[in-house]
Amino acid sequence: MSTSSESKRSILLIEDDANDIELTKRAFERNRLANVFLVARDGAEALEMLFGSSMEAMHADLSELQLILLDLKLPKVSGLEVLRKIRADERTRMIPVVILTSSDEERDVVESYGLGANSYVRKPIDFEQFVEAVRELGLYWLVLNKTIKRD
Amino acid sequence: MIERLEEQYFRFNRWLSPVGAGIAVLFGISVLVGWGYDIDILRSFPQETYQAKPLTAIGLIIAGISLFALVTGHGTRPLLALGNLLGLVFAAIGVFIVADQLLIDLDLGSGSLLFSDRLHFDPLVPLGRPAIETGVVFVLSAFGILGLGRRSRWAVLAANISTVVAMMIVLVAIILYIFDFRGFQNIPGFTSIALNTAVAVLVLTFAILLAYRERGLLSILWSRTGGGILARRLFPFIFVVPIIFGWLRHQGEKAGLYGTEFGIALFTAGTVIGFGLIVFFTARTIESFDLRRQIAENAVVRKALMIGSSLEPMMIWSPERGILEWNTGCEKLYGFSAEEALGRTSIDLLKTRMKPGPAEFQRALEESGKWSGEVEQTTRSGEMVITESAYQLIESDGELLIIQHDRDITERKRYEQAIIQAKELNDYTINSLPAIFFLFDSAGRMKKWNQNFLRITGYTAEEMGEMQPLDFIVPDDHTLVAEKIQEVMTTGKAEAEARLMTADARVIPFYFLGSRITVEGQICVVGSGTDITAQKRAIEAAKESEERYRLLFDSNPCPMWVYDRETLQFLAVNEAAVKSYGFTRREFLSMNMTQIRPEEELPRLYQRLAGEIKTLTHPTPWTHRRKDGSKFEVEITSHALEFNGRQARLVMAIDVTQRSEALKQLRESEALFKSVFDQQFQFMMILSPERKIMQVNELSLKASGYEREDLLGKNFWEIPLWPQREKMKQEWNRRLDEAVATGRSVIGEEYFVTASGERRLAESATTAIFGPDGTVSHYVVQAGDATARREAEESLRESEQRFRRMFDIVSIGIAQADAQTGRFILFNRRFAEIAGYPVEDLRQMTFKQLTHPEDAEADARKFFEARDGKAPQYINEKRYLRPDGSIVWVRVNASFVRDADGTALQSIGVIEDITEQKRARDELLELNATLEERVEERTRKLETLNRELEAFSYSVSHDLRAPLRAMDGFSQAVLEDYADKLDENGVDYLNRIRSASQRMASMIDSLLGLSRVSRSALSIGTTDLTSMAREIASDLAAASPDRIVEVSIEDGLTAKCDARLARIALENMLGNAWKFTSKTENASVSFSRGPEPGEFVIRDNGAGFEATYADTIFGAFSRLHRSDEFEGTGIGLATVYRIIQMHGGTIRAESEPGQGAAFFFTFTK
Repeated sequence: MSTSSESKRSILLIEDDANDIELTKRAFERNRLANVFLVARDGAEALEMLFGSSMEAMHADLSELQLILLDLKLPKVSGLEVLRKIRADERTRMIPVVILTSSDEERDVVESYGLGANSYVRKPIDFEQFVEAVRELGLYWLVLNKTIKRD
Repeated sequence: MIERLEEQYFRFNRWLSPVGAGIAVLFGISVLVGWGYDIDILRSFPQETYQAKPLTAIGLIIAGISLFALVTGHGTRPLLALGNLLGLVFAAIGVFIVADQLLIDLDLGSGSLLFSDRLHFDPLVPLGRPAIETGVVFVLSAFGILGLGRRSRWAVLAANISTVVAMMIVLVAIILYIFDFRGFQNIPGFTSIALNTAVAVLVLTFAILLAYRERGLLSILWSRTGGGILARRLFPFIFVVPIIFGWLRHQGEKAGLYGTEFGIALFTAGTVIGFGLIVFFTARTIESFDLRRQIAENAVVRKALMIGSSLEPMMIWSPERGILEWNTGCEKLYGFSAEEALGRTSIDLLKTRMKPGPAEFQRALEESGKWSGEVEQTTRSGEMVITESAYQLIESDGELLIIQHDRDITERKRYEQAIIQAKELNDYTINSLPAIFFLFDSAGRMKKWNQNFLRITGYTAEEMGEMQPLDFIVPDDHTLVAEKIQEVMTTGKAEAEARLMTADARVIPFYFLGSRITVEGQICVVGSGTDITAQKRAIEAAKESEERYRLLFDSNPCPMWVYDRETLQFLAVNEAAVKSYGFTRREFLSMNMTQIRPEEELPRLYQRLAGEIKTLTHPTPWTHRRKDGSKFEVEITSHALEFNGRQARLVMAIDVTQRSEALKQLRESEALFKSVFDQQFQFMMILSPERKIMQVNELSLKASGYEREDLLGKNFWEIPLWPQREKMKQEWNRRLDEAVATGRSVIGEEYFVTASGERRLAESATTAIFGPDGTVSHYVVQAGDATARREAEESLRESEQRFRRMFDIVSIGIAQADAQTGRFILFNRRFAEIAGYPVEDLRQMTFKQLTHPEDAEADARKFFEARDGKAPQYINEKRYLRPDGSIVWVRVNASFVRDADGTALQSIGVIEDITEQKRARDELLELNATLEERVEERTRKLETLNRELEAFSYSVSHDLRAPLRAMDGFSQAVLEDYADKLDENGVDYLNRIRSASQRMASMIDSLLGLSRVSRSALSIGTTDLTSMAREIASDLAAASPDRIVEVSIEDGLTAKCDARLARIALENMLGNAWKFTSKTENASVSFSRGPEPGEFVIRDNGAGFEATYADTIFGAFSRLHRSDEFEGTGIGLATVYRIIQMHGGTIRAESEPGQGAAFFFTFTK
């Protein structure tokens, strides 16, 4: 594990709700976890960012992408579809994906894990609990979990 | 001999003329044939004389036909017209012939019309033209023929003279031939008439003259007078004698036997002798004729003398001229004076009516010259007289006259008729009533009897004389009658009802009365008998009707009974009632009406009974009670009647809950009708002409209860028998007057009151008997007691009406039909309504005709099976086809009335209109048929709804939470980032926003949980509730470590349920217990078995709630505590309730505020 990799911990949040984006960012900031915090506002944008050709510049960050936070209910392309694409693509197959969503429907949970989600977190209403949850997430996925070196 | 010839002459003389005409025609034809076949003898006779010419022949044929037509035509127009036309043609031929001869140079061709090639040419006589004298006689004869149709005497005379001239011309021609004189023939250029032609014309002219009969010159030949005889005798000889003698003289002279002088002498002598002989014989004939006429004339004179002087009515009249003589006797008898009568015909004047008709009368007069007999004539004053009249036909001066001699027999006749009438009336009186009278002696010989007895028994008087009383009695009744005869002999009187047997073996029921009397020193029995068939029949009819209705009562499938209106006791019940109510008949009859009703119906019953019950049908159903206590609803129809002397009501109950009823057997039942029969008797009174009672028979006294003194000598209407004497006076006087006026018996009916005050009905016949003087000698009033019959009739009528009403008002159809033919015998109005046919039509119809053709076969099969005992009963649902084409569904339930052999005689059917029921049932069936389809559709809809609900829940769980999270999150952010800028209130408010958001989130979660529970499928298994509860309790304890709660969970609690859902339920309930004990000291929560099997209970000693809310707490968002007291979403118990419900279990709560709460629940029923 190199320092550079440690210094460049980038996270992709795929979330359509602006409030949630803000709160999530805040929770990460409070926990001082992410250096680069990328946001995609819908499924289509997320896929463009991950696999599109036009935004070559971002690929550098993406290549450093250590965690994807995925909401399930997304405009255009659903979260599960995005997850399926991430898992299907060689480049993104190994990136940990944490489902971060409002729903605790069992169906959603089961499908998410079925498609290869690494974790399923229901966004709590209580912001403090949310901060706590993010802290634990970040600690595990960004700090403790050994990511596979790409390249 | 001569007279017979005369008769022959008069029989055939009318044929003389047609025969003459025929001879002329035949002659003409024979001449033509002669010409046609060149047979000379037919043309000229004797030969070598002139030939008859063809045109002459044609003329004669035409004349003959003309004459024949006119003589035999007798007014037939076509024939007369033909005759006249041919007559004209004949005249024209004559004219043509004459003209041709006179204008000889012109040669009109009269000779060459026919057979011109055969004519023997004579240089002097060109071309065989007929002789001029032929033409002349033709013209003259034609006048004679044409004159036949003339009315004028002058025309007839002229025609006759013309004919006679013609006749003379031909006669001269013939005589000339005879004397070989050819005078005419010597006139140059002329051909003379042929001899045969002359003879033919002579015959023709003679026939013409005869055709005029009485009108013509020869009319004398038609007369029956002496002149006629003379003419007829002499006429032929006028022709024959001189001609014969002339011819003889001529031939003698020609032969040179004698000279002219001798010839004349011979001729004269012969003629004298010949005529002398003829005149002699003729005169004798005329003499005898005159003698007879003289005798007849003398008789006429004598008659005339008698007529004039006699007081006996006599008259002489002629059919044409009317009455010629009218004597004083006639004036006296008929009232017409001679002046008035003369010239009228007697038949018109006197309006004579005789037995034979006018034609018959005339024929009798013509055949035998007289007729006599009784005739009715009318006098001037219009009075009718009967005369014995003799009519005699006489001939006076050639006129037929009738002498009429009348003898007035009116008085005699009137007496005779009075006698006959009186006799007839007596017979009629005796025979007018159905009574017979007879008398026999102690030896049993029949001595006297009335006509009626003969008529009824059919024996002749001779046979009757040979017979014994028992011979008229049916053998079965011999013993009885013999005993009664014995009784009469010993006690003097007896009565008996026995059957009379007639000669032709008919049996008639009779009521006999006998009395002992002494006739000519011999003990005899006088008896009378009355035909009581009518009474018997009325009673039979009453019984039959009763029987019929008893059938309706007993075999009615609907329960029926009769109850006493005072005591409410049952008086009669039918089989259906026994079956329906479960009480035996004996029980029924010891019960009253209230006992078949439940308590709660009694007030209504009493109320109903208290009022005068007019309504016959109680439309609202009553609840009735069976013996076993079960209740059922009935519709009641009732009607008042008298039953065994009690005021009662007949009730019919129709089980409306179950209308069909088992069929009934006949049973013995008490008579519904009073059986009435009383002895019939015959009484008689004889009234004087003043209409006072002269005689009364014993029976009348017996029947009325009065003594003879009470009645005798009184005016008939004054006797105490009559309830309303003034009315009776009018009535009886009217009847007696009528009896006198019509001479017939006057039949009447009236009530009378006996001495004991009993009111009875009498049927009477009143007859006036006339004496020889034509006045009333006495009146006979005969009467019979008709009370019994009337009562029977009335009772019959009443009962029929009663049952008819009853029968008609019930709301179901009832029909009685012949079981073999299916023809209806009796049916009620409702049935007619259901069938839809007019009552009259229905009477002629059968069940089969009503049944819809598609149902008919199956229905008939069912019916026959039941009828023939192959099926226990006949109940069928089928369609009736109404005459208007509509269809009505009926349920028919029929029972059968059988004879001793079990053969069905009648069927009694109860017919219900089930069209509506049927429709409802059909609809239900259709609903059932589509149920599955509808379930599937509902399921599809449910699935759709479920999917929608799922989508909604999903959306809720995602989207509803996001704003809450924002509210909470940003509130927190403000608190963190701007804490220094907020005062205490600001902080507090933001905290409130946060806590509200969190509570909202928690409620959403609960709701989602509830919806998930509802949607989840059950997976039932045996679940260990004890350990599940213990886990939950330890979680709860862990969640609030500061609390001290005494938890007691019973060991071994298991249930068959879905473990996951059971856990949610337990979590909620234990959580609640935990929560609501939070403010309780020594909090305790327990989970244990409940009091009922399979029941569990969770108790706590917490806050509790009011019992009234025990049921509402299971609704969603239902909270009994403020959220600042106890946190909660209000969804928990709703979720529990849902889970329990899904398992099919029950849950209830018991609580009091501050006393804690207990939740009892099961997972299965």
